[in-house]
Amino acid sequence: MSPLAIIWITALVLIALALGWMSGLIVLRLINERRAGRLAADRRAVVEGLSALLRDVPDAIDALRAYAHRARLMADVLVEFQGLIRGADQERVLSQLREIGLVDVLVARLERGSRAGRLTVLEALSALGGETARQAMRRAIGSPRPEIRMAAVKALADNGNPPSIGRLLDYAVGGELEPSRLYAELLRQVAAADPAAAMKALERADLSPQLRALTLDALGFSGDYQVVPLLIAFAGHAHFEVRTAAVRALGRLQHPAGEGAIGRAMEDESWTVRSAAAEAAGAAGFSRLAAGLDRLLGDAEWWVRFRAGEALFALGVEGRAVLRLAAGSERPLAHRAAELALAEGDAT
Amino acid sequence: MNGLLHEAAHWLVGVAEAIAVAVIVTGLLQNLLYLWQLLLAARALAQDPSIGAPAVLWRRFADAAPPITLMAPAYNEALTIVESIRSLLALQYPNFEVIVVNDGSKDETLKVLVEAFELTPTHRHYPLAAPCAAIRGLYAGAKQPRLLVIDKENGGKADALNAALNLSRAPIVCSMDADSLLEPDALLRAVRPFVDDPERTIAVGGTIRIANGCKIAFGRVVEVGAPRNVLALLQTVEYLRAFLMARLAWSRISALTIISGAFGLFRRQAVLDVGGYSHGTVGEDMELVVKLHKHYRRLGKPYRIGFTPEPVCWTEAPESWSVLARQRARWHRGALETFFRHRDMILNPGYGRIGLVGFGHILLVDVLGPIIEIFGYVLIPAFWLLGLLSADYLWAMLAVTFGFGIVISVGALALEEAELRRFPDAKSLLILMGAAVLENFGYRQINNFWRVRGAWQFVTGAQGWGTMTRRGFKTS
Repeated sequence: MSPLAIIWITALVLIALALGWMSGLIVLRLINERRAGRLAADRRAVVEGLSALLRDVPDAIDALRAYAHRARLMADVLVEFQGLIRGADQERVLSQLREIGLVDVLVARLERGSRAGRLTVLEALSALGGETARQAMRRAIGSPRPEIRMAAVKALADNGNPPSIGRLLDYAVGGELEPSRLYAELLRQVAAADPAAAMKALERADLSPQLRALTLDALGFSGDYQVVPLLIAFAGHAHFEVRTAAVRALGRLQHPAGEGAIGRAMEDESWTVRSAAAEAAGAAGFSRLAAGLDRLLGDAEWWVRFRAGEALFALGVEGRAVLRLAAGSERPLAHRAAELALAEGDAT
Repeated sequence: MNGLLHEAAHWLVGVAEAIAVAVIVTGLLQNLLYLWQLLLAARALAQDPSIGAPAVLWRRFADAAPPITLMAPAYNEALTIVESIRSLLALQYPNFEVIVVNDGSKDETLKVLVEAFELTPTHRHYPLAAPCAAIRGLYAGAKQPRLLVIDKENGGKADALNAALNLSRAPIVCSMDADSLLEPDALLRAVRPFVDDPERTIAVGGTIRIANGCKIAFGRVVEVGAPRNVLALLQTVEYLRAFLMARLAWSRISALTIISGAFGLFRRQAVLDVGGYSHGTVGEDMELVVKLHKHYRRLGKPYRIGFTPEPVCWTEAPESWSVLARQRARWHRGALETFFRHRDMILNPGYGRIGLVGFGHILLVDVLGPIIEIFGYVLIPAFWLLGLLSADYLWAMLAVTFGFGIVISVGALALEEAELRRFPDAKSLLILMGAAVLENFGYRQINNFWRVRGAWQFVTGAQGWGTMTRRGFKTS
């Protein structure tokens, strides 16, 4: 075949490919439009069926039984619907759906199909609960896809059966879960629910500074004062992220025993720790630290000056008096920081 | 004498063939690059499909969503600014603030903002971390606690964004144009990489779509439609190709060199670490992304610049040839400014994929491509008329070029149709397919001419933005 013929054939193949693709897209769109219409009608029917369950309409469950084999449809509607109802109503709907075998259908769907579908199915299983659902959610933690693993852990937590904090940290240490913001949120919930286990977990040597910091941060939300000595100890840790998290957690707990550690953190070499200390002093209302905050008003780092000003304003009359003194002082950085903290505090 | 003429003719044939080969090879390389992008984008969309309903997004991500500052620079936008800001304030996101920067407007932009939102002068402590022109005042109001207005001396878009950057206290900032329309769930969609990978993600771009032909109400696109104006229609296909194909593909292999100035999320500290937005360039958006790559590559710190394929922002496309010509020349000039400012990165393995693929792509498609293509359009027919090139080969190669062009554009439409399906009906799709074919016959060539004009402006050191005449969104 001559080079010219090859070029012409290439051109014709490309044009035919484009035309075929275009025709295929149009046909698919027409099919999809019909399918979308049918799907919308089915969704309406399922919503009506669920509403009928709520109203105790006789045979309502039989109407739903016709759709029970369609895992994605049922999961989509269920997740939306159960968000609108609470208490006994919610339990009535869920128990009847369990009775028609929806859990088994969803569990089977969890093993196959699109990722988006699996994520929704996990949410639906979390709502339905029960041992079979929980086992399926636990199995999904072994999924090769990280988002499915995370969704499975979250589904278990939403179902009231979160993994222990030790297991949760294992997942992150082993690389099964990424230390995402979703993970941090989950860790916070789990640590707050069981601070003693979180304290024990912090003894582990295999935690990275980031994971240790996340756990300490989570302890700050526990409201349990037994964690204070541990937080004080970690406020002197070698890694600045760990110290920052410990100091922040102390500020959140507002326990008087944290005052010394927060005061020491104001002298830290890392500006993030100094900034966290200033924030913590203001949040906890430690007015005895006002002199330290006054010093931080002249810090080289803007965030430290800003947090110190904010904290002094938050301390009330005493703190504002310190700010006014600093605003009239000859220290240029402190003067400006104090002036703006007063102006901004008054404006908000 | 005859021998000399024969030699000259022989030399001319050689030149003609060399030019033809250069044009063909460049064109083929470009098309293969586009084909690669198409495959990468298809894979990305298949692996990470869109989350459809906003309610699902909210349920899954709202609790973990970090605070965001929307930075909206405004210059002489008195007519539209209030509606734009109202629409921004109504975005669905758990924790955000809007900082509007009145960049020394000569009209009543500040006055209408102050009156509409009942703003009063306020104070906020801020660092002068990124260079910007003098700030004249700050305004806030009790009725809109999420809104802060900065009134400053005129300094251009980069300068205005730097001012907002200084005033922002959120860890994530969103740069945008005050006259763009955001999807209600734009922030929630675009923030996902920051939620999933908070340590490494430093920036996320979003897909920009053309709003011409869409129904708009209360600062929102309420119904998507294909534009009726041919020029806007051609740009719709072009935007699909640029965002859904090229940017998604490059982000997939960590080689994305631009995040559109109309919508982009950035880690505030990362932007400050590179000195904020650069002054003295018309392509401050590309410049920032390249600076970020350079900074993190030099430090050897792991980082990620992501991209969300779902449409998050709608913009008005020019419907006049002259305005479009100026816009395209300016974009090209901006790209060249950044390319040559960071020429040490070109094909430099020290910068990894960004040096090899990202800058290699700019070199081939933006620097050499338009010039060689224009040369081809002028010289190849001339050589053919002079009988120096075979007409058979010429037509055959042209057919391949157009065939490739149509396949690539239809491919981008197919990506949209397979994963996002935002165009309402088969009729819109058919119109867009017509545009995908049509753009190869004239529009693409004119576009190249504008790009060459941009290159000329770059070489001659022309400054300024030219006038962008907006018709304003038609609201229903």
